Amino acid sequence: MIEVILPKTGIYEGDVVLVEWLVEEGARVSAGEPIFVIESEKVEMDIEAEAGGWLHQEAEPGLEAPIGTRIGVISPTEAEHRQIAAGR
Amino acid sequence: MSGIDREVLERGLRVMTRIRAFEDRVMREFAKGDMPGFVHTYHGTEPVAAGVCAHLTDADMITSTHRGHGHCIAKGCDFGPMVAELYGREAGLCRGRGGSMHIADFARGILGANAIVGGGISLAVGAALAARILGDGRVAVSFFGDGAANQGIFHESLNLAAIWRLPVVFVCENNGWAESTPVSYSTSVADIAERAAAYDMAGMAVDGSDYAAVHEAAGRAVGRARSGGGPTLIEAKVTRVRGHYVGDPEQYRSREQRRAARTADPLARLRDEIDIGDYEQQVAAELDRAYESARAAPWPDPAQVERFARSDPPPGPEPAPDPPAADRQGSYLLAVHEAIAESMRRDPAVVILGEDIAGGAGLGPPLEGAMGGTFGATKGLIEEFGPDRVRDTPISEAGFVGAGVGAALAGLRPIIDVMWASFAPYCFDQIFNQAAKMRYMFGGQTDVPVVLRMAVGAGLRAGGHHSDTLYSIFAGIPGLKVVAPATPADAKGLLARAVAEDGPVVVLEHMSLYRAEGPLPEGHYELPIGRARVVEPGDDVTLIAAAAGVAMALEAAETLRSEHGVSAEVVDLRTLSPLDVDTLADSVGRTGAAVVIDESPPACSVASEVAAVVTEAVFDRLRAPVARVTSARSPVPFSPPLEDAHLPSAERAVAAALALAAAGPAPSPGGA
Repeated sequence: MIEVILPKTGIYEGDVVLVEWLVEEGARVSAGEPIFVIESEKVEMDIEAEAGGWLHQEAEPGLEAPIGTRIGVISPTEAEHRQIAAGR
Repeated sequence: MSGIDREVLERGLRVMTRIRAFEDRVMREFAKGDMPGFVHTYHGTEPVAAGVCAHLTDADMITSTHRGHGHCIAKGCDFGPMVAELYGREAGLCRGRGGSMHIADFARGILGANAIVGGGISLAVGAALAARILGDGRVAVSFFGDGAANQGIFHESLNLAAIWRLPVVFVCENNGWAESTPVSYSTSVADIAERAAAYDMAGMAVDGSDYAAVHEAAGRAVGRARSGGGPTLIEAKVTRVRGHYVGDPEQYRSREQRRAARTADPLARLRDEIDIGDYEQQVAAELDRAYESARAAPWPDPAQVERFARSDPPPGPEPAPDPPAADRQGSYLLAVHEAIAESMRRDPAVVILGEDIAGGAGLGPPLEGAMGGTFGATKGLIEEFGPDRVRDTPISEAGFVGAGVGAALAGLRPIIDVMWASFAPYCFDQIFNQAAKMRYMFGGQTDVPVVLRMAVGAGLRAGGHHSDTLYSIFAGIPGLKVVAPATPADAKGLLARAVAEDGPVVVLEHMSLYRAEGPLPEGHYELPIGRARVVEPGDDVTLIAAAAGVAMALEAAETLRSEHGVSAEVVDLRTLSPLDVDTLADSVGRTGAAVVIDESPPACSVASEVAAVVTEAVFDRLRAPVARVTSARSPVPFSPPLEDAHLPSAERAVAAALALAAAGPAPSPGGA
């Protein structure tokens, strides 16, 4: 499992806004696929999945939080995803 | 892929695997927020660095770009010091002074990543010039992007390399984008390689995503360079797989275009053909260790913020502050000539380059060398030292100053004749961003032993483009030492010292003084940089000046003494940076008043800096604010009455000194 975080983009180090998820909760994503949109310095940008797997979302659009804040996880197997999504 | 050894391909794949893994990891770690600044990755360009550097040894030299990680890895840098540099740690390749965009490893011939677009091209030309003159068989390679091919320095550099047939390879990594501007918009030709024809140089466009193609093209180019066949321009066409920098929102291409770009993978083909076992895992483990140790590594000590900014003084004791006794008279111009000639005799690494320094270049005697410089300072030198060491240049200030700086990185000690200081803006990048910053940004890995001679000053009715001093422009740059001699004896000793210095020294020679005669010691001697001199003692006021201003100060002192009964001390700054604060403070501390004469406009001038340091040092001894007698706030005018009104004068210095003298006695040290 890898963490999905609000990333540092460019030189800006202030808070970042999660604008929207581009894929559904539980969706299977592939590495490099855009999975959410952030706003940083008034500019929106797509953020791509670091690895393939099943996405579990842990934050709602509109969240404004520091760089590095965890907003979800990507699990390498569907079974692991189900466990995480069930809160186990 | 026929015709290329499988072993070569495997080595290439390993290097590319290292680059890819490094950059993937950079993206991942950068997102976390603890890597300072910003970074640019080499995704999609891996075959270029790998394929070119496969032909180079550690002794061969490269210049790199803001997107330089791939070049470093291909040239053999270890991950540990690279990653530590990205995190700004003392253990980094550049001790944290440079960062990703200014990473360098001189032990591996990496003369620095360069965040100025095109900034490395002329440096590579200079490195190749050094290799040629030293005859050591080294080759220089400059990597740059498509954006750099539209910089003037690209054109100047290619021309220089072509006319001198230098062992240099220009590698243009054309990823189709200069930041957000497509090459289709910015560039007049379909293939940047076509521009080689304009310089009568071999040029070839290759598929930069094809390792074998790059390897083959680079092999021919490096071979040509090494065998004396001259330069080559290789254009490697690659895909901009990712944004300009990590975190680039890439508004200039659609989501679909971005997605398509991401699929480009120049490693894929070789991966299918060649098994490198668990090498990826090995590299990943190497990166784990590099990140772990980088994050735990200590920061640089903030108390050392100025360390490496200026070169250390030459080894040995500092020379005496005064010139040796002289039993002859000689001109300032002769002094300059002798300093150059004697330095060249003493050290075969000393070369001179610039426009018209021989004159009639390539025509052979008696025409070649007859001119000997615009002012005649270098007359006779080509006869004695030959055209390799006395090298006329085209009118390409940026190109030949950059080449001189690059040569200084590669074993020579060039004296560059910029001719008029007013021309220096053309080569300001090479002076300001390159020569002056390198020692610092590269954490002390290199010195930059280069001397920049410039003629300064007005009074010759030459108008606005041949009369500036630019004193404060150079004196305000931390990495430079700047001297402005006033006498023939100082001109000789300070220039000789400048050549002996390991860092860049700007020698500003005042044109109105070239014909001035004075005592001129024979033979080689050096005078210390950073030492002012009291040239006339006095009690009531200190007159501070440099270069042509010293004569004004002496004239003013004589008028003050004979007509007003005021005893003025005259201090010749001699060095504008670093200022000799001790001598200034001692003099003004005794007299309690100071007038600074400066042949530059007053705003942010050397006069202002002198006033500030004197005030900081001896505020409690001052009877009045330090007075400045400067040029007018205008360009230097042509019309004689206007030019005279523009310049400082002895009369104005006298008036300023009398106003200070009227200000009353010095405050008593304990206050009222």
